[in-house]
Amino acid sequence: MAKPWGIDPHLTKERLLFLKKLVLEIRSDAVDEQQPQKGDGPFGLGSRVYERTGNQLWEKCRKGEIPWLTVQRENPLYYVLLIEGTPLRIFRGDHLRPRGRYLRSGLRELKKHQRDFAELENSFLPAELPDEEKRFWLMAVETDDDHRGIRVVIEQANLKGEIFNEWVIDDAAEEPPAPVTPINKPARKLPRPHVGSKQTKKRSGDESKE
Amino acid sequence: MLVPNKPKNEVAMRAKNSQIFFGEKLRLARTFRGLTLSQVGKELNDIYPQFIAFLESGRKKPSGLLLAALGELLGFEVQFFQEPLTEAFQDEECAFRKRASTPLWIRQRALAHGTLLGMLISYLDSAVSLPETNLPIIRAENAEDIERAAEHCRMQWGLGLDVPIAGMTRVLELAGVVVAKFRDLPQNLDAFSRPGTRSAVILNEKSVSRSEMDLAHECGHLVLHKGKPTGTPETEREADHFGGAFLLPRTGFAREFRASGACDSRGWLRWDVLLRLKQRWRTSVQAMVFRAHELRLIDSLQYQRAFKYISARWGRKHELGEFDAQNPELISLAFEQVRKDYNMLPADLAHALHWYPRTLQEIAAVPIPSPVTPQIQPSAQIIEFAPKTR
Repeated sequence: MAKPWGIDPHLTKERLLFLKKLVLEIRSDAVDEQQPQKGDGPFGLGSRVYERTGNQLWEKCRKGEIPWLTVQRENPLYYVLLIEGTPLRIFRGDHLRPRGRYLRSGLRELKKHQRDFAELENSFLPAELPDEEKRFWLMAVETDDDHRGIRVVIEQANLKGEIFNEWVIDDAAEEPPAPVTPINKPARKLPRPHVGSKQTKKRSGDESKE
Repeated sequence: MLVPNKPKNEVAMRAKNSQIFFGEKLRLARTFRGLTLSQVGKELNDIYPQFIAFLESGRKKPSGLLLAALGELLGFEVQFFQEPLTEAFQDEECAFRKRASTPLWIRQRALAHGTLLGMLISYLDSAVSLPETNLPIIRAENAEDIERAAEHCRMQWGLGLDVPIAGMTRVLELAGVVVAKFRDLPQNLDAFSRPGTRSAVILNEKSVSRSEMDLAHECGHLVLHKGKPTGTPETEREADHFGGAFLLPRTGFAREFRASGACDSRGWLRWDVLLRLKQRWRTSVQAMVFRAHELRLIDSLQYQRAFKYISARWGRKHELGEFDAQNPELISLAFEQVRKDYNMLPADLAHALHWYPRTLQEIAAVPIPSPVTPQIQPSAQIIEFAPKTR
C-alpha cells in the first residue's frame, strides 16, 4: 500500500503529523471544556471542534506560519483545506466508514479544486475516470467513548465509499518520508554502478569462519 | 632459431578428433554475423548452403578443418561449437519496440546478439559481483496505475518525484540491468529487453534523446510485463506511457512546464523554452509534447500543430539540441574488476568464452587492445649473410 507522499508528494509525513497534532489538541481542549451536566452533547462538541480547527488554521495561515497550507473559506462555517493545492477533508469517525456527506463533500472539493486551481501542480486526474471513481483525500479522526481522539488516519476514498491507501499518521520511524524538492532543482546525478570482487567476499567469509 | 614442427592449426586437429559439435551454436554465430547460408557457403570455397543447413540442424558434422574455417569466418574458437547452447534469447520472451514492423531477420540477429551478451554476462556474474537486481514487478490495469508504477520506481531508486534524471543508463545499471548497444544494425530496430535473473536492455545507435526514451520504455516492459507476452499495441502503449511518466513525472514536469511558459498566452508552444526544457529533462521535444498532452497541459489542437511543426522543421528522427550520451559502464567496469582479480585481460576473457577478441569487442562495445606482438629478443642470434662477391 502506497504512503500518502508516495501518491502525492505534497502530503509529507511532517505536514500530516503537524495536522494530526493540531487536530487532536483542539479536540482534547474541547472535550475538557465540555459540561455534560449543563447540557453539552456530541453535536456541540463536533461543531466546536470543526469551527476551532478552521479558525485556528486560518489564523496560522494568515500569519504565514504554515506556508504549505491554504484555508479556502466561503463563509465562516464552510472551509476547505488545501495542502499545496491538494484538498483534504477532515472528519470524525471510523476511517473505513466515512459518511455519505463527507464523500460528497470530498468529491465536490476535488472537482472544485481542479477547476479553480488548474495552474497549480498535481491537479491532474485522468479525464476518463467517472465521478464515482475519482479519489480524494480524507483524514479520519477516530475517537474513544469520551470523544477524545485516539488515532488519525489519512486515506483516499471515492464516492462509492471505497477506501484506498489508508495510513495511520504516526511518527514512528518506519521509513524516511519522500523529499519535496523545490522547482528547478538540478537533475539527479547517480553514482557509477559498483562492481565488486567476489574473491574479497570469499576471503572475508573464510576469515570470519576462522 | 629452432621452431617446433607445429601443425598448421592445432585446434583444428583437436576438433578433427572430436565428434562433438552443436549445430545450434553455428546457427547462433552465423545469425549474429548477419550472414545467410549461401554467404557462408560462398566464403568457404563454395560449399553448398544445404550442407551448412545440415550442419546447423545436426544432421551432419563438420570436419576439423571446416570447423576451424567456420570459426575463423564467424569470429569464434572451435571449442565454442563444441559446447551446447545453455540459454538462448527467445523471440517470445523479449520485448521488441515496433515488433510488428521489425523484419524477422533483424529480430533474429538481435536475439543472437542478446544470447551472446547473455553468455558474457553470466560469465561476468560468476566472476565478479555485479549490482543486485532491484526491479519492482508491478501489474497495471489503467493509466493511473502506470503513473503510480513509474512513481513507485522513482521512489524505490531514490530519484524523487519532481527532478529530472541525468541519464537512464545508470538508473538501469544501478538496478542491476545490463545495458548494451548494437553496432551495425539497421535503424528498423530501436531496442529490446529481456527480463530474467539478470535482465538486459539492448539499444540501437540513435540520437541520445530517443535512446533515453527507448531505455525508459524498455524499463516499463521489465517492470509491467514480466511473464506477459509483449509486442501488442496495448503493451507498447503501456510501456510508452511508463517511459513518459518515468522521465517526465507528472508532479515535477507539469509544474515546470507551466512555470517556464512553454505555452504562451495565445496557446502557441514556445520552441526555445521547449529546447531548454529538453536539455534539463533529457527527453526529446516530441516526448515532452506528447507528455504535456497526456497531462492535459496542452489540448489536442496544440498537440497536433506541434507535431506538424516538428515534422516539417526538424523531421521526427533528428531533433535540435541533443545532449551528451551516457554510455553503458557496467560491462567495462566488470572487465576492469576481472583484470584486477584474476589478471585477465579482455583478450583472455574472450578466450575463456571461446570467442575471438573482435567478437567480444562487438558484443561488449568496449575497445579491446590488440595482443602485443612478440618482440625479437636482443639475445637472439642473428646470422648475417656474407655479402655476395662476384
